[in-house]
Amino acid sequence: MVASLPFRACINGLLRYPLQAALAVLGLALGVMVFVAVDIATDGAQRAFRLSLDALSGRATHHIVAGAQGLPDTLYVRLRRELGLRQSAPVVETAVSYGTGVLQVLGVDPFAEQGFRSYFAADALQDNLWRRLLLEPGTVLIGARTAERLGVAMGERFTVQLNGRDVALTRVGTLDDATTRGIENVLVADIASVKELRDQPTRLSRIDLILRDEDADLRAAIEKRLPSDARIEAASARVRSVQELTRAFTLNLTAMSLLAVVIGVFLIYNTLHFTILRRHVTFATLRALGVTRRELLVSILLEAGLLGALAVCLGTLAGSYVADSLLALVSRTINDLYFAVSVSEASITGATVLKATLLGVSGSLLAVSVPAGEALFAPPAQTLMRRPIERRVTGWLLPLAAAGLLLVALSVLIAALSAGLSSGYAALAILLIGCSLLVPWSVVKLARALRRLVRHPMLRHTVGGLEAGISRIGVAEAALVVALAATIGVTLMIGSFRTAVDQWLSSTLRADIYIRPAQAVTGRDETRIEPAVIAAIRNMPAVSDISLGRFVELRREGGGVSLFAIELAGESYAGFHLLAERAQAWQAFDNDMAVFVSEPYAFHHRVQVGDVLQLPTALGEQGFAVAGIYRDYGSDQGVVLMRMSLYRRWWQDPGISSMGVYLKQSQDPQQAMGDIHALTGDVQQLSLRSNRELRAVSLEVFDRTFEITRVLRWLTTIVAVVAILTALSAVQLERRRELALLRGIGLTSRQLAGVLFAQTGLLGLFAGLLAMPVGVALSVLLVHVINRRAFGWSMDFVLDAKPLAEALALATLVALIAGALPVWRALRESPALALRGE
Amino acid sequence: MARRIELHGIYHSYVQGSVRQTVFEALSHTFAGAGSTAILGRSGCGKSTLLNLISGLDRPQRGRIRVDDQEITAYNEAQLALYRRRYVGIVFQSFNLVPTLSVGDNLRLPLELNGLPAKERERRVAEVLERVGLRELIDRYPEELSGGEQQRVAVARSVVHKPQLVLADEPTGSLDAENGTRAIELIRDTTVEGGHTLLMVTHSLAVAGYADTVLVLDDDGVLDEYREGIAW
Repeated sequence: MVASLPFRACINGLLRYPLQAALAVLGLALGVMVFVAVDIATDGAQRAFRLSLDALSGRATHHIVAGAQGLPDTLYVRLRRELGLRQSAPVVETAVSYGTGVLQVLGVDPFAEQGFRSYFAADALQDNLWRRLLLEPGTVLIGARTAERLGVAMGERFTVQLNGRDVALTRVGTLDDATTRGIENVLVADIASVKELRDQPTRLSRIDLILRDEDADLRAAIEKRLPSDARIEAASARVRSVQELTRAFTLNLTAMSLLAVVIGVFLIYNTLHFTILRRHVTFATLRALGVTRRELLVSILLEAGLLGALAVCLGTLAGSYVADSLLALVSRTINDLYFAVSVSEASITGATVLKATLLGVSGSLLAVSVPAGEALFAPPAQTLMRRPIERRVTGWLLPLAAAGLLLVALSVLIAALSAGLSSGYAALAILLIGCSLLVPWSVVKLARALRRLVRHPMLRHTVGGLEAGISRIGVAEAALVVALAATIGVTLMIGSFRTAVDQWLSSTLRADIYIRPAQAVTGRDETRIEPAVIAAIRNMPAVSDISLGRFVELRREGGGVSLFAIELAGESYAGFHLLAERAQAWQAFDNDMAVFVSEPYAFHHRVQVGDVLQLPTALGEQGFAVAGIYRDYGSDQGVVLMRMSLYRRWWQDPGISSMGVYLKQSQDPQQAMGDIHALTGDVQQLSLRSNRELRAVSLEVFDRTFEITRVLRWLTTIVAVVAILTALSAVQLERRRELALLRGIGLTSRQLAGVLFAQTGLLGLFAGLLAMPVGVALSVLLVHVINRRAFGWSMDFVLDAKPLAEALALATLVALIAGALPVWRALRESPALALRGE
Repeated sequence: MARRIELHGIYHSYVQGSVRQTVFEALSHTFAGAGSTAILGRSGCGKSTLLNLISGLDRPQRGRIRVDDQEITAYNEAQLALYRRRYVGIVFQSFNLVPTLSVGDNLRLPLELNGLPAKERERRVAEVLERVGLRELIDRYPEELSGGEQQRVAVARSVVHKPQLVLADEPTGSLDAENGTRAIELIRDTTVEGGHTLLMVTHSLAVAGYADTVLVLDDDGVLDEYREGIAW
């Protein structure tokens, strides 16, 4: 048990330095804030998607699903008739554009819905709403919140875009919020209406089922009657596949946010280390009076725990506010790269609070354990003197640096010998820890080297002050180096990545104009371009050639497969960079049962050239030989590339999702795009982009993807600024007498400020210099290990000097800004008072 | 009451810079009986180290120390803390009051550690502060006191829990002549009144003159009775 007076003696000692304590709490709170915000945002986006899937699935336990063409509606009737399958409901889903947003349209059969979803529950029936839905085409129900956000009143007609066409819908009712929790941006309509919208009057998206464990025989009977490309999947499988899709993305964000927490923990360590050093006589006195080591340790841990808890409270509160901004960035990236999701808000969960509390409080306890052990495990007679502690700190620098070097070597070994993403992150963390252990020793070495170069006594004193204060500034300097190195590393990685993507786009995008249906829901849509439109464009006099593409998501056990079928124009072949290929790969691709797979696909599925891929075709499972692996930065999940004729043969789908148009020489793309619009506008609204526009848009999406990384990087740097401010304030407190003495011997305030600013500037400069090699190493790991293992992308590392120079300037500037407050305090201090002592 | 402190073959050294300094090679001595003992010695001869060893603040590298029936050199850290808590009161040269606690709380601290009920704590604190003449300063903090007042509080704290042994390490070292005299008189009077055994180290003959017995610790780490002709 903690005796109250010893604890008060401890905590009062901490409160004597309120600025230090406040900065430590602020630093950790900022770290926790970043973590909480990222956790809420990523969890919110996933939860919103999961809730929407759950709500749309209702009480269905399983779904019957198929490939791009969906299921024939005769299957549903057959199952009900032959198997008496009453607990089944047909569903047609599609996405439409409304303004700049996306709406999901769910078509259901009101007569089959009982037991699945309650959209057509009592109050809906009272108003005969379902009768209107059945009889009046284009009538829909909308959730109250969605309707309010879209500004669609009851009975109002509004226009959406589907497959490039304008479609008029009418709101005839409101979905009950209680029964549609989690559904945002969803319209519910009668199944016939939605089939009509999709121009696929006989196809279903899926059939929902309620199957119990004991229905194994029934399941087998259903499976017997399924077409070859259809299968039964558990409702939970869809959620899992969504989580799997974004796993690497969210892991990257979490790793970034944890860095901010680690720097916050550095800060707590720094402050508590400082206050423990300042209180060593108090601790020794308490022990001399008979307070046991354990009682004192409990008091110190309690104090650290309280600081951590306070930081967690503040950080969690702030994080839940910041999360809204991050949520927009996260959901936009998910929309760009993975799936359509609309998240209007995300709330903090108990799990997030628990994780933040564990991180913040355990981080604080861990941070204080080292200085507490240092103060408590020495004999009290020794701790009554300050010098042995200082000597111990200085004596530890070399062993710490040696340990740091060993950790760096260990990091290289782990990166080289392991294969998993987690071990990649472990190598990254170990590298950062190793480098941070090297920092205090390196600062001392740099200060000594500089000291040898300068002759002026005042300058020598200025530089010597850095070495003398290493026990207080070492950890903060390490925190700043880590934050700067992260900035350099991430910037270089993004730069390398951007260069690779830019080169890839230049090589891949060869057509003059790219076309797809105007309904721009996501970059990978299964919507189709009308055959008449394709024919009209092909026959235009300005057009020399066209390439055609069809993108479909194949569903199979254990996740989906993105299949891209292409009919290449003569010029398109050169756009593919094959990283591995068998002999006469293109010949095989064009003539045999062969496909190419993208680099991420090969990486994630451990596929090699010569392997055979089993894919679920419309005619049953079929094997396709892998003839080559090509570079592709378009999807981190990977894509299977197949020639169009092969796709049509096995999937019997004549649809085209996208087109590339090659113009004859000297034709103006803008003019041609105008002509295409004029030619096809009556048939179908198309989205046309010139080569240059598409490249710009692709790079814009790329930049958007890393926007959140940039935000996190800045937040981490702010935490590091607080760290260095705390350290400098500590040093200033520690050196009160020395500074007063300098003023006593005649130094003017300006000269004193010069000395102090020179010291803080040098600290920043040293941090910037040390961060350069660490940042470069970090970047190499990110490029060659993390990116490769998370997304399967390989790329060349590009060393750009600009981020290095920027980091150096930033470090110096940051240190000078952080030094302003301590300098101001030092100048305000009465020399007489400071010389009198504590 | 502690009547006997036995030191057997004490060896103690410490490292200063890169040099190992031996303080005691094989110190043996027995302090017998109650009353007050002053140990004289030059700076650096090991006077404070001797008190640190007897109080359990430091451990000898070799040898045994017995205080009455307790062999404190066999104690672990927790046992030593309890030993100090119950049996020892210490007066430091630099007072070492806990700066974050008021005068009253500094005195309550050893009593709380010994588990005395609140009422008894308050009675003892009032009584001891009365004895040292600082009753009105009970709510002040150490930094609000003069050096002399701080030392009087330190003396009060060393006896408030009625320890058997009071150890004073250069108790007048940080005070001027007038305050030093008042402090040493206070230490002597309070320990005599309370029946405590007082062991103090000093380099001042005048201070040593207040003790019943005066010993000298020479530069070789040998304790001897102070008598005419002994150089120190």
